[in-house]
Amino acid sequence: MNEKNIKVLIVDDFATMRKVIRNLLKQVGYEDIVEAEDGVMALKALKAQKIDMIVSDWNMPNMSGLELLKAVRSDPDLAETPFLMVTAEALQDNVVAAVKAGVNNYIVKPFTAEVLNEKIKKIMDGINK
Amino acid sequence: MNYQKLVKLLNDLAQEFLVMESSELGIPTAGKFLNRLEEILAEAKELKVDPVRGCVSALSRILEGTIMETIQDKAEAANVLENGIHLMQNIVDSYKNTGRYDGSIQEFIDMGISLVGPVQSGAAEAPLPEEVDETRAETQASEPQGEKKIEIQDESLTRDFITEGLEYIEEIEINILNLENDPENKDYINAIFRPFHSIKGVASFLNLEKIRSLSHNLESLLDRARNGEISVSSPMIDVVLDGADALKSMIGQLRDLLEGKTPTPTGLDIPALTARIKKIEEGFDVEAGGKKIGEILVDDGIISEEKLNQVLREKEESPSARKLGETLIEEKIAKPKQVSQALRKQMDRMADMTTIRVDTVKLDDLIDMVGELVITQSMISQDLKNQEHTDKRLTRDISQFFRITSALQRISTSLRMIPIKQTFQRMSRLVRDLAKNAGKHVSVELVGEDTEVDRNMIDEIYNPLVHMVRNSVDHGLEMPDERIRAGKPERGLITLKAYHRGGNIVIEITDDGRGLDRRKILDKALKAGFVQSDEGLSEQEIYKMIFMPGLSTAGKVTDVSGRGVGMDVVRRAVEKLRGKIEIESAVGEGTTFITRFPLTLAIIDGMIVKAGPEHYILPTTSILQALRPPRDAYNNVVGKGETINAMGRLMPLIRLYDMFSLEPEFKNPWEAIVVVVDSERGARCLMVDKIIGKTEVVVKSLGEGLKNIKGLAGGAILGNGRVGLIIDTEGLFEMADQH
Repeated sequence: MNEKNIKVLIVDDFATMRKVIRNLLKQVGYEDIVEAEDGVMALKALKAQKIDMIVSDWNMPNMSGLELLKAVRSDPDLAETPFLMVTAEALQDNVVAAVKAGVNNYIVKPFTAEVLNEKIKKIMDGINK
Repeated sequence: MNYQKLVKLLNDLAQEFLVMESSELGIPTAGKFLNRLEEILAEAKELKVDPVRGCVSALSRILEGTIMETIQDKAEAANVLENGIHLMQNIVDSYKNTGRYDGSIQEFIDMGISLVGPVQSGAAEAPLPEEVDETRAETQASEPQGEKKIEIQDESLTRDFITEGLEYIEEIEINILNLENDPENKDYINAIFRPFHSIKGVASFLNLEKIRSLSHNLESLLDRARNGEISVSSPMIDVVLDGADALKSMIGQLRDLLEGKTPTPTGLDIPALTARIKKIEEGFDVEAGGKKIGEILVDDGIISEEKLNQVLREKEESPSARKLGETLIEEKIAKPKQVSQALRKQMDRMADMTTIRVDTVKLDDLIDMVGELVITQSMISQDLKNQEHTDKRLTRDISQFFRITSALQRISTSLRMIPIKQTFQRMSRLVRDLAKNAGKHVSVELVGEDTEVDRNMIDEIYNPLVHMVRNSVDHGLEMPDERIRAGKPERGLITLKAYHRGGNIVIEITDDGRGLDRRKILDKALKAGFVQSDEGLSEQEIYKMIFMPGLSTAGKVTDVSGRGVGMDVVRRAVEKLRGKIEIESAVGEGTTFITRFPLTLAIIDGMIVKAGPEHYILPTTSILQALRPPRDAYNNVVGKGETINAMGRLMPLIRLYDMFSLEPEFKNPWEAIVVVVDSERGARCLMVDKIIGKTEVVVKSLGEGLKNIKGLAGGAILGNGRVGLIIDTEGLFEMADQH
């Protein structure tokens, strides 16, 4: 599978933020993108189609990024889906909690397209091994 | 002791570690190891294998270091981890055999420390330098020339950011009000925290440094409140609101810039705002002057003096940056709310010499007495008119005295006046909720929210206003697709407007919706038998039919309106407050409800009428006309009762003297005076002997014994010193109908 052929799900309650991430992803060649505005919608999207990578915000109403992560990991159909957590600060407690819950990597806002690409590559490498 | 499980856990971990290459010590692996270590720790705790506990915490710190990228050397980290795992296996072996471990884990811990850095540093202190930098950056950015230097990086994104950001700020404002009413509700704090957080996130991508930094500061203030480290206080709410305002105008500037306009200077003092935020974030900095915070808490019986002294002693022994209030909260001696109340008390006592708090009962008494004074004044003025000869000097002095009393009356009523702002804000929140339920998009505009009204009125007018707002959102505004089809903006607009006019407060509720449908109202009214034909009915009269009980033009019943009960309740409530409603409407353009309320309920404008020997006061707001009817206007039809033909209509006649069993001067309507009085039951003609005049009276309750008499709303002392009874028209007409 060509790396750039993966389908990415962006989860963020702030529409502008989703657009920001979408633009960055496009800059580095990821074209197949779907969006969800919170964890609940994200789970729906995940059930409906095959998603190769989740890029989710940490802080969201209804269902936080961490809760989404836990839900994904505990669902046998989705458990293996790569998950990249977007956080505002590298707060150790939050990051460690996400790591323990099985996040594949995290990225701190603001980030560049290159860093985002690097993180995604790293996740894909880790899985393909 | 059974070490089997612990041994197995350690062996599993060792095995996993063996198959891993050091380069693979990535985040998923670290997470897996952390979870294993947690299990090991729990088991070690259970079995009291203390050296293993020490190892686990060192190992966790190393793993966290690799996750947070404070440790760069992954190979070395893997090396130390391996050592740690083996060490733990040795320790458990030793425990299994001898029940203890004689070796030392110190060497291993040292290895860990050299990798991670000493305990209590590293990550915990890392954010500090950034904070310092920020303050500096801010001071620079806020210099005058800095104002214009906003660089727009991505136009389309910036546009989205402006729209969405402003929406988020609106959300913040609403939730802040909720928080103020319920300061300990974490949901509300969260609901305010999150939008700031989102704004910050996007601003950081768009390189909008000032917006990012301000929302960051506000966010971290709220974060501390969320964690219970600081309490939600008035100053905090104020600063968050000011912060939201500041963000709003900064985003406004951004929009100007995008539109190619020169941004209007915000006139904001961001460094001062930031300083305020920081000050509140740091907690309690008002221990100077007045009573000490601790003393206030002791006075209020929240903590004992011994406890206070003990805490103070401890503070002295180990000085820290913490304020007393914070320490008390941290050690759970006092609740955040108690401390903040004490602080507020302290501030009240301390500085503010320009305002004082007064019990409203005292204020009510004062206004009451001033009312009496005004009445005594009018008694004097009537007496003077009756004097044969007038003393010029006395007349001059008395007119001076009159001027003073009327000024006094004005000032004293103003004491109890408060702005209608809060009521409006509550309603604007309601609009949003309603709109959401109805699937409509609505903006709310507030105009004149600083208009003042008597405190006693505020609560009373809230309910009728709410009903009207509901009606506007539910029936006035169309669904988004319908609006688009009609060529209107998708988002509807509800305007709440308040102003003073002629001793009244006028409140207008306007929607830009579909407008009232004359035809539909008439059809319903005809069907319900309220009217026989539409002849001679003015626009106003037709519109007003929506206030009739049982008449609703709503096609379907929603959970809030459409059952035909709402609007007649509104009318009754408004009239009870001696208010009036008017409706303006244009099909396709919208509807405005104009309500007028007296500024205060304490004084009413009344018409003094005479029936037999008694004086009665009719509230002028309900009077439509007064006339002496010609003889042929009077009809007495068997079964229908007496009617008078006035204002082009037949209206039931009610003889006031009959109602109160008095002996009148005139028994024939064409000799007496007939006052046409409006009511929710429709207009009636009230027959009285004569009209004495118009006056302002101070409403007095009739006291316990006479309180529940139907038809009377209270009493008042009239200019001539006599007592006049104030007529409750609704009650009176109800009585008459039962006759």
